[in-house]
Amino acid sequence: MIARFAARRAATLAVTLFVASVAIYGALFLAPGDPATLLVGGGKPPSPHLLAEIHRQYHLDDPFWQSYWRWLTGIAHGDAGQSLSYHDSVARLLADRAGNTLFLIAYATVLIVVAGVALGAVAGLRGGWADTAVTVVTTTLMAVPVFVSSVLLIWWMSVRLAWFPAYGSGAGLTGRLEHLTLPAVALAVSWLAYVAQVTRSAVRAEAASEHVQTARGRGLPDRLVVRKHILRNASGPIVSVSGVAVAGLIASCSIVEQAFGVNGIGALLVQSAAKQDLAVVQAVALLTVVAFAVVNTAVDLATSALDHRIPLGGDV
Amino acid sequence: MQAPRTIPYLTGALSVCVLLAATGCTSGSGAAPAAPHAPKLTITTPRATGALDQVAWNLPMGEPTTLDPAKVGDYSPSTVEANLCDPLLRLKADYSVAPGLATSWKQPDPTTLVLDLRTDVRFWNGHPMTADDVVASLTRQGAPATQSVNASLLAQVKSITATGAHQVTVRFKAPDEVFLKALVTGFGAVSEAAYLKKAGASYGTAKGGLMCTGPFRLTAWKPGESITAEANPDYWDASLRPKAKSLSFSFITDGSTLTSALLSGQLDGSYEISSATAKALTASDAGTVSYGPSAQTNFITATSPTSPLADARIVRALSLVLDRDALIKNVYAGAAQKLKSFIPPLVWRNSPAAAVYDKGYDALPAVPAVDVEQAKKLVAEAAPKRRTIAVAVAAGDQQSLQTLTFLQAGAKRIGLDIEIRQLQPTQMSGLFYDPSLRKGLDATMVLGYVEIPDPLSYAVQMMTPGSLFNWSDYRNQQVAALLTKAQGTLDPTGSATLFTQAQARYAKDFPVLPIASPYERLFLNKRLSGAPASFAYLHMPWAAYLGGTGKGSS
Repeated sequence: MIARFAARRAATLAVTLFVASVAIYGALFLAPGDPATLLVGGGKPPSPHLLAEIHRQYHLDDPFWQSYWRWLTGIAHGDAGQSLSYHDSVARLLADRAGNTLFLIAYATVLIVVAGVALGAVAGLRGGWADTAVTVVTTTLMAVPVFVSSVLLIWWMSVRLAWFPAYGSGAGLTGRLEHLTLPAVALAVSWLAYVAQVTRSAVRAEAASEHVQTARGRGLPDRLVVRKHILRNASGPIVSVSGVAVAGLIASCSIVEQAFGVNGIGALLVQSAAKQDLAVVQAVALLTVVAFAVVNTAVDLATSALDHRIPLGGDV
Repeated sequence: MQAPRTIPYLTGALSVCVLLAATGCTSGSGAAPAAPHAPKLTITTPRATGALDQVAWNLPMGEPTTLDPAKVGDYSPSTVEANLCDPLLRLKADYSVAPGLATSWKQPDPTTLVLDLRTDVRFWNGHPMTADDVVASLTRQGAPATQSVNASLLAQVKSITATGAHQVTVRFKAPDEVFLKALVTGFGAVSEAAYLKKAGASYGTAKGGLMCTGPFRLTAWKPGESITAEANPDYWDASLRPKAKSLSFSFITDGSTLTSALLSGQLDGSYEISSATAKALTASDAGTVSYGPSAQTNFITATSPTSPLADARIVRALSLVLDRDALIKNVYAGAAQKLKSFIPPLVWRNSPAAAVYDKGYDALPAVPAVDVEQAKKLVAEAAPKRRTIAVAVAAGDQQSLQTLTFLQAGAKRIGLDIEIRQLQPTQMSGLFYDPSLRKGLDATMVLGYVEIPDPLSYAVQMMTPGSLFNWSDYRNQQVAALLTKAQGTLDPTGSATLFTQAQARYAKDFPVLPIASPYERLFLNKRLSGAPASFAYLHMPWAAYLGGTGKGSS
């Protein structure tokens, strides 16, 4: 069953990748503008020969299918192409930046899952003022867009308090922790709030359910009831929402990396898209699609493992 | 993200300071012109002599795509490259020209230029600089494979040869007075011939590196992250041996992130900061915002022969409804200067023929005060077929957008409808070279600068028939003939006289609407000082002037 599930998922992924690659390549291809002119800008007018030379070198004048085919055969041979604006191979550009982005996403995921579930569980189990406080705070945080939280955090924690650097990626573990804490928090806040709310309602629903009442009535210790009967059963929705959150992080990474000057894949996407650097945009976009699919598949597997009533393959 | 600026700019800095500078005021500041709210202009920030370990700088226009002197043609790459690669001639902060790697030059006849080189210069790797290196650096820019932005400067050159171990002779097909002055830019920068050969097409990239003679040497370039340079302790010019040990460049393009990084002291400084950033920094005690005279120019010009703006009367009408005082006060926060022409006077301010250029500029019609009646009359006279004018502007360029909104309001009063078209970066830069991208547009906002200290170098690109930026198909035989003749005249006064004659003519009928020349804006953390504040920094080893003030720490 797992094998069939995996095969179906892989096939879907392949089709998605193909459609996405044609769509993205086509969109950038059709966009007006000449990426070569960004390379020459400035003080002196270049000769038209210069532009022609750049066009020739990067095959900018080829028709769409020919150009797409060159890219596709390149990818098939493991060559993601050359970046026009960085004069470097796309593979190396991505490899150089993958560490920062993965670190950032992992950091934010930990914050979302740990803090989100803890807050939600406290609110759901304790009720009363804790519930009210968590509900109010998380409702507020959910409404804060990533770019706003980024600006606020920089202003407050970097400029006013000078606790964290305002920009950059840092090197080594401590350097990264120091530089990426604020970006991870900015990235995590609204999803954290979301996970907390879902956890809170799932926990409440479970706490009120019959089997929990029965367990309590039979005099089982409260700790055991919470762990075995409430949290375990509430974990399904929490895991799916956390999965969606992580997939969402991949997308919002661009905004945070740009705002905090983090040298990651998201920032690379933003800069390359503006420069119509086709090979880079294509590679990053496809990487994002793959990451999305992998995360969703992992969530499906986890949900089904947690609750055997849910069949594999229920689409997310 | 700010769109790249795509054309040379000219600034007319009429400031007293510039005049003082000519007579020896180097670190002084001068009174700005009488415009209200105008900031004080400085040629250079106060000298500081303390040693600095590390200087963290920012390039607000983003990461350079190359540092190869043959290819640098924009703010970011020039800002870095000017500290690494020495040119044959040096541009000073006041836009005057001084010896660089060439100690002297002579023109035995109008088609020959002999450059005598310094004999004590070594590349970073210790190899001595010879005439062969100069020949290789100059001639490679004519080869299409180099993809140099300077190829057109070699148009009149017949040959470049080494005529001694430290002497280079350039022979011309026809005299060209721009060539020599262009040597102050990346065009005149000298790289080691052997290194150039070895690096090939990767020269100047993160992979290929550089081999020059400048006060800083390139040590690392981590794409997306930073460029690092270290002081060259054996720099040939002892007066410019860097006091800063190491210099790193970051590429923050986001205005609010940059403001925060400068406020918190994480970054030490930046040129080309926005007026919003300048405002926030002025209110803080993190350091000083300095304003300098500039060769940047903002103007609007017609993009096709059928544009309503191709009629000079419509341009004049728009000029009459554009309230420049209000514009400069509100959009540029006072940090700009009105211009009579699209070429700012700083460009010629310290030329040997400055008096001639000044006289020519003074004779141009004054920037008009708002006169709606007169403007209406001009529109009626011109009777344009279309009254809608589509003007291109880079998306996200707030300053230009606000400027156009101003113009829009004025145009409405005389029955013209300005339609603002925001374009993506590649579209905006592309329209300068690709006619198909100019379709459907009538005019464009141009943010440019003039880097060669000669107004002719800029005018020629737009005015002569068939030139790259002559989009309205402007044909004035007299203007073209005068400009060509001026370029072929080596005597500065003679060339200047011919140029001003051309200028007097094209001022009447060339479809360009000068808006303003923004001043250079520089921020320095209080712990350092000494960098030039004038726009000439773009081609100066500005970081070699930085020194510690002993104040603050970070």
